[in-house]
Amino acid sequence: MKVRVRWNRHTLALLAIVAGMWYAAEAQSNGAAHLIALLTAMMGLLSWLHARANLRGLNVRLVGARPAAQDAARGIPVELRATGALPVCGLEVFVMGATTPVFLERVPAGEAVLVELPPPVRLASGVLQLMVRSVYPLGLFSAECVVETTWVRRVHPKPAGDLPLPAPKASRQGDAAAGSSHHGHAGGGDDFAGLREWRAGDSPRHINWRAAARGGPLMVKSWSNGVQGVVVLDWNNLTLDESARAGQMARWMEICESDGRPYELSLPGCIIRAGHGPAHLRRCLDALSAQLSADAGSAPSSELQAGKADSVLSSEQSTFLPARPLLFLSLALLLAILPLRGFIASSSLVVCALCLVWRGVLRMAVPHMLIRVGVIIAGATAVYVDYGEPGGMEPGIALLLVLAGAKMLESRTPREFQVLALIGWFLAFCAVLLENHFARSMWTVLVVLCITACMVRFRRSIPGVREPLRVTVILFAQALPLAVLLFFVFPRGLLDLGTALGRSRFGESGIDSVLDPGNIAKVAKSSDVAFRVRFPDGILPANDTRYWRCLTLWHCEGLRWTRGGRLGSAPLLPRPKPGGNVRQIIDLEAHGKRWLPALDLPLMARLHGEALAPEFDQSLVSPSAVQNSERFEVVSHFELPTGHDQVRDLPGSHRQAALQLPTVISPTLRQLTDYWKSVTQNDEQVVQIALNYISTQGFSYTLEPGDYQGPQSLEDFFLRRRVGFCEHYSASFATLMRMAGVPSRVVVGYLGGEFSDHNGGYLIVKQSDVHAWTEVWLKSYGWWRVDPTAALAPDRLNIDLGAFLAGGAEEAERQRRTLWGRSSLRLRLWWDSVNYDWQNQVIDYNQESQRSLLERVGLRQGKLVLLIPSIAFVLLGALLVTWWLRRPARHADPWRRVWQILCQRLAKAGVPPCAACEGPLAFAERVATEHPELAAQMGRLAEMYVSGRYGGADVFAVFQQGVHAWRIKPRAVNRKMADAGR
Amino acid sequence: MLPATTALQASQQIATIIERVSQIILGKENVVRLAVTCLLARGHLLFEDQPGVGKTMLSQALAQALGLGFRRVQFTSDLLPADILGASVYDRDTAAFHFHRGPVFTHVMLADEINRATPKTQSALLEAMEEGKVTADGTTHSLPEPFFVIATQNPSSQIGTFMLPESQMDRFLMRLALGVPDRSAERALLEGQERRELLRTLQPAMSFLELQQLQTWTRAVYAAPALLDYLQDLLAASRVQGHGLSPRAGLALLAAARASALLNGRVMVLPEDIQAVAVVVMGHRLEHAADGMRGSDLARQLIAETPVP
Repeated sequence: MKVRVRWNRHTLALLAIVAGMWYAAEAQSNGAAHLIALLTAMMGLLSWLHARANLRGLNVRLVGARPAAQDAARGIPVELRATGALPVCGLEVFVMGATTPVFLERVPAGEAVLVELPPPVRLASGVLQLMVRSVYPLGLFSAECVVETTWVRRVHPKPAGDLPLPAPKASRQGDAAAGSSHHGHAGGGDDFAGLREWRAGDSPRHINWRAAARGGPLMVKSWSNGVQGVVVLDWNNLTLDESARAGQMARWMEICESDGRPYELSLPGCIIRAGHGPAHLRRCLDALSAQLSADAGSAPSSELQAGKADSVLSSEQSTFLPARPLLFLSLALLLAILPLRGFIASSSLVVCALCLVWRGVLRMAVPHMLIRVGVIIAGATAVYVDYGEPGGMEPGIALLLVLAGAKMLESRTPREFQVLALIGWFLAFCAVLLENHFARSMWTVLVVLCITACMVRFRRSIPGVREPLRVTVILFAQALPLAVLLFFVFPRGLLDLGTALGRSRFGESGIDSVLDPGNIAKVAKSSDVAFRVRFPDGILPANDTRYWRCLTLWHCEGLRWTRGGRLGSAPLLPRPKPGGNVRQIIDLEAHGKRWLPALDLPLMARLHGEALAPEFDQSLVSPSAVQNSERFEVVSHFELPTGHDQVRDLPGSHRQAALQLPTVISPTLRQLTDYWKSVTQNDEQVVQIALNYISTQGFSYTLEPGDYQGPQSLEDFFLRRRVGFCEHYSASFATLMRMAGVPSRVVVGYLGGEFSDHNGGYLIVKQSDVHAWTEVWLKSYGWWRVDPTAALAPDRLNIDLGAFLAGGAEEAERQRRTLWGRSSLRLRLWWDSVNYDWQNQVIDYNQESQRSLLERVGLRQGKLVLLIPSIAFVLLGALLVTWWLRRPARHADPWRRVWQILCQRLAKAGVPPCAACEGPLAFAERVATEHPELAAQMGRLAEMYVSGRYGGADVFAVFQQGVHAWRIKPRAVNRKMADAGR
Repeated sequence: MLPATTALQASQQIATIIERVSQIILGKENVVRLAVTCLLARGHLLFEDQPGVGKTMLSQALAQALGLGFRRVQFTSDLLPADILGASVYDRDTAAFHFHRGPVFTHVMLADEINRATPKTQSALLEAMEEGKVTADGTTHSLPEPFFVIATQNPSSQIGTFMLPESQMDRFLMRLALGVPDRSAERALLEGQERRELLRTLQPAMSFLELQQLQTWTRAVYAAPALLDYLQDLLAASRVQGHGLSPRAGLALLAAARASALLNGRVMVLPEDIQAVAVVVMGHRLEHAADGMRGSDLARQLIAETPVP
């Protein structure tokens, strides 16, 4: 059977989606997105192979009696047999010309299923053709094949019609004699014309009573009135349409038969001479049905030739909705859009979720079109209001959500839900674009599998989840290795996209360039990873030097500080000593701003292969906003200046900026700082006295100090409430230093970091490690770091914030000792290392990685050369999958299996194959007659097979050995056949 | 299971019978083999053929070659059941009723033109065939063992006949058709001796005890599960549209296949045996299902379409 796989709209939709995914992945240079795109593409390709192989292993044949003439309404029994090792699923079978197909859920492997097909309506007569169609497994391709049969179905027209019989032509008497032997109108005429069996309605006067008295059956004497006229039934004389004409003529023939008149049939194609009797009747009816099919056959025969039968309503288009699959699809789509919360404006999410619940969970009917249009307009307006402009990734995704919701509202048939499932694939993919965690990628893969299972479920009708899950898992297991191989090999950067598709809105976590009281505390509440640091030199800085510098703030407004303006060139730093430098490789998570963290004090950095020098305030700034995770290298000097080096003086502009104070200063604070200035001789002592003040005056450190607002906030904090967070301390300290005449500035960054053993040892710095401290300018030291929090709570340096706030160092130590503490710590560190690996190996796998891979192998050509191994892998994978799918069924009976091997060997050698209905001995005899050189061995093996399988003898081992050991030489056989043929 | 030597010996004996009968009926060895198969399977035979092809001759030859008693009854439309089974006659001497046995009390009974008789007479014979005994006046007289009925009917003359309905044709194991011999066989017939002379001089090849032994051996031929699968596949294929072959047909097929296997000298039944007897065993049982075809054509189609498992 020739199987054709046709693509339909869904194939195009799949291609579009894969192209969209690849484009997004290239634009964002996101390896996980590439992987998902490849996985989707491979699943689509494999579903093509599965669709093809599904119908390939099917044998369709007619069964039962195939009479010469049949009742028009009689069903046609057909047997479908699955000859491969896999079951055949999701079939639609129908006869060409019928209106409704029969849906067959599954034909188990190696077994046969019998169906009765509704008879064709339009092509009542003619050669019967069957069509088998399937959109299994995913509905992306439709496979179909036309089964030709040799049965010419003939349907005799039913007698119908009320027109009177045409008058017999008396002039045709000569022909009447030919058929006058059997007719006999019981009543008329006086020539005895023989006996016939009595029928109900015959007059009792004509019964042959003598014979009946002797015990014979009731016979009726028939009389003829000599030569009778012949009734001529002419096709062209009637003015009705074809089927009515045929019915009328059949009725006339019936009347003629019962009357005993000979009749002649005159059709456009043939003329049947006058006659009478059942054989004549049958001939005439056959001719009539042939006439009917010839007339009706012209239009549909072209359809037959084209092999299309799209007019038959497929079960894909039926509007009956099964409840459970729809529920599953809605749930899967809800799972798909769940991770988008937090990145996409909630209005579109809510719209989409409501539509899904309305239609899928509550199973309400499709609402009116106005409502649907209203939903689209409302959703689009909400997107516009939220985002302002339609370009960019998030607005696009939000619009897609609204459209998906609208599509859900209007979907009725499985075909439309298929489109929705494809959109669901894309929505699940979007989550990977927005978040880079390993967990998110796994979630996406899981959701894709769920949606695929829903797609399979829609194509089948058995309830339950096991079968769709099994099919999905098989597809996934076959697609995953291919996708992984292509991930490494398929050339990236083919599209050469200049702009990166970044995220426009990030989470609320992340340092801002404004230090407002309270906003550092907000950052500290999140436990997301800010960045990870590796030390390639093996030098790990001590706890108290793990200050990570991000921003410096110059402009003072009391408790609130901002960046201030950019100042001129930086003062020269003390010449870096050979020791005390440490190299770091930092993997920074995207935060949308331009600062880069570095260990205090950064000397120089390297980002994207280019050197980056620190700014005027010794912090690192990236040339463009960090919208994706970045990796860069920094060399820092972490030892504090000793005061013995030559330090240049602070430039005037810097000094002026570093002493700027807000316009309104609290007089009490002014008094305090004046007092400090008065009791000290130099700046260092001022610093020291201020630190003493903080540590002795009852200040406390908490994450929830309450609100400080207004111009009095500094005084409020420093003199009255004395409860605050590092931001309060650093801001107030720097302000007071400025008031005391010491140039100072606030530095915002991170403090600490958790050490993890995995991946060769690295530090994890989280958002909760955010910290703010101050720097003061001291004459012989330069900018000197002062951490007021350290003065207040020295433990803070050793443990992270959460532990510090929970109970301090002892509590943390105790926690670490418990089993729960240890195992949760280990788990946490392991999970972080998994994420780190995922980031490094998968997400950051891009063009450069490919190039380095190529160079390692030894090739230096351009990236297009990678297309060759990609295509090779795909072809190899497709071949393997096809071979697996097409494997022939293994017979349960071991005897039969070995016999099959023998038949295959013989077939390869040129012997015509064993027919299905041929017994073993008959086959052996045939082989012996056609190929005498094989006769002896064949006879022996056949004897063994027969005595073992049908006789119960225990010769299986010998038989198997004999079959496997027999090497049939194909050439000898072929030459013999060629000789015989010549 | 039957030992191989027994099977060989049986096949030789059967070959002798066939050879003897084939001397009388020329050119129809296949039909003779099938007829002997039927007798071995303890079934009754139905010949449906045009007149004059040698049905009576064949029946007589069979009976003679097997050493069995032979009676012939010509059925007419006024035949009564008592004419076949026998009647109780009042004997004045003993002042009692004696049952005079009818022609059915023999080994081989030829019921010629069974379709001419009234249904009442037909059913009397068929009942006797089935039961194996005749009950009259309260006493039961059993028919001799082995008992065969060979019935004939002419399919073409429909007028004035009562054709056997399918339910009663089912009781016959096989339906055979002799047909006209080919040219060389007919030539030999024309040139050769008078058939009746040959029949008179035909020597029996065995006694009826030996026949009974052969019948016992036939029943002992082994049918493997794989073969029964094939048999059941055939039966299921016939039942696709409406009711097809009955379980009685399955039993009949198996019995005939066993006889065919023994005839070929085998101790087990093979699919080839089933295929060899299937058309004649199934043909008359499938007339109702044939729907425009002949029953034997449908049987051939079933065989061709059912794969051997």
